Amino acid sequence: MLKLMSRRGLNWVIPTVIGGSLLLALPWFGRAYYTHIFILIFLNIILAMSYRLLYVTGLVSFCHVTFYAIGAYTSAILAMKLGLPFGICFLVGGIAAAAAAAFLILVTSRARGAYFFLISFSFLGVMNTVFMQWRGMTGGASGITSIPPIMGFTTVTPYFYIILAFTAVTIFVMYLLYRSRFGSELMAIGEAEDLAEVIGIDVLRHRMVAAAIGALFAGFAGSLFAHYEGFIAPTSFPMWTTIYILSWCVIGGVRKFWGPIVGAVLMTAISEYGRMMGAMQAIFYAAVLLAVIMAMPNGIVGLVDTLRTRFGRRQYLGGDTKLGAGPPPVVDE
Amino acid sequence: MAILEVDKVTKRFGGLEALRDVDLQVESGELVGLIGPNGAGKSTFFNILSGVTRPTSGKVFFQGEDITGMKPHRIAEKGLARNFQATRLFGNLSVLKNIQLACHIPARTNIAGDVFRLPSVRQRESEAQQKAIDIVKLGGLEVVSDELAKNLPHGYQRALGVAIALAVGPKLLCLDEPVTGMNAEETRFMMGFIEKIRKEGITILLVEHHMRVVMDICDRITVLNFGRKIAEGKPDEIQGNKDVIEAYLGRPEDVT
Repeated sequence: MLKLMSRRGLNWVIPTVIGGSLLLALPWFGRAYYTHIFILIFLNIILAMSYRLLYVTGLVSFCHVTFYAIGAYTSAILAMKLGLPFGICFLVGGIAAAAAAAFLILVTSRARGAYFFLISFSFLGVMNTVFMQWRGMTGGASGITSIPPIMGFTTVTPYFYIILAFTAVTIFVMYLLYRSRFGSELMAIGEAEDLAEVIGIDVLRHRMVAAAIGALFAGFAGSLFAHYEGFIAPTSFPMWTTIYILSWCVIGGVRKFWGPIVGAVLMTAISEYGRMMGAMQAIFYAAVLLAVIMAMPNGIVGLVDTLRTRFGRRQYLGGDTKLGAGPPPVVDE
Repeated sequence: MAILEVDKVTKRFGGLEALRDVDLQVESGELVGLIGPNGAGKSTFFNILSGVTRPTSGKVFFQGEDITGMKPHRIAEKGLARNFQATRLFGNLSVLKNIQLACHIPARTNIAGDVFRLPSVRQRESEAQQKAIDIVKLGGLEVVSDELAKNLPHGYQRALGVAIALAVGPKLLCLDEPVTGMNAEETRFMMGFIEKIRKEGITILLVEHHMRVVMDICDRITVLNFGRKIAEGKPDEIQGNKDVIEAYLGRPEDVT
């Protein structure tokens, strides 16, 4: 048993160590452009993971990018107008986004499906107007320029490590969340809301907390983005971003913990690669999306899991044996 | 003392009157049947008890406390649980996990403690898990305990629905047509399950169309028709009641 475990452990350890070291070394041998692409990938991972949190409770929103924008604007404005240090701007940016999300869920507590989607779309519209029109604060269409960098760093490399570290923190926190009973209860709400309610789950409260945590991380990512780029404007947050976030989740497999991560990495890379194709980029992206949806309805990670259970070791034995040995481990979903 | 007391509950949906001035008393430890033709208002009545819908007027008292209009999760916490007529399960979770999720009410904790797995949370979770396993055994679901709920045969799905409600730890369990669509063997199995629940000292309110089941196991029966209570009494009294026979079969002159 011990031998088996250590072998299984090693299977994971070796690729992780090699991959991790390659990733850590990347800024030192790649071009700055690649480092920049990786930073975008990290931010997109955070966006996809934070989006999934509300998604699993059965609410598909159109305004996740707005929480990203709220984090970015709040952080940038605090730094510019009040000269606050980055740490405080970062925290307040995230909290502002979380508060906005909790408020949105509270006022839409009775809306579901298409209705919630449309209300969240209206929220996005309202906030876009605020960013465009509140010129004294947001700089209107021309945005905010020369946002102070984080701790004075002006090259790409330090940002690579800062944002990588924060992405790791995000993944870890999400892992803890989904592993907990609270995480399972979020899944339960998504599966059958009315049943969740009558077994004593406070659906509204859970959704508010899920939305707030999701928006908190999206807001943090927005703050990192603002201080990394040094410039934000309404065009930095196009409204289609949420659709892209949704597509990353679906392509990777939204039911699986690693799904949004795989989707965000792959599709960000593909769309950057697609830039070379000019006008064909959107068609290429759409083709990949359609191919994945048709060939793997549970996403890439979903397919991998299905294949593993079909061809690999059976995960659960079922029946009395399993009950005697204790219930299956509570992981992922 | 009556565990459940329903006082003149009326529910209108626009112009349609689903329930009118319905009274009901359930004593602690009883198994009370609620029957009536389709559309009589039974499911609406259950939705009102469990807080899914609010009555237009009237009151519901549970253990002497007014629970009218309370949110469903609060009512569940008070100890009133239900299943659903149409099978509702957490389809993509295992049978054990379905039950375990419902086993939390005495183990309520805060989200932060939950996420960071404080020792107290672990303790409670393992207790919840043990309780879930006991309920799996009580419901005869051992063989399928690791299957995803959506992959179960119908009979097991219905039994799981009841097991989930039982896991809430109710004092009053409201069962909405637990044997619907079951064959004779599955029905016998489910009746055995209900008997076992009853032996645990849990009061049961049962909505069912299957007359044999109702007449066999209920202490008392209440009959609804078109939203009104038309009869109440022991099974043999109900079987001979003229109004009830009319409600189900129509009046003799209607036939000719």
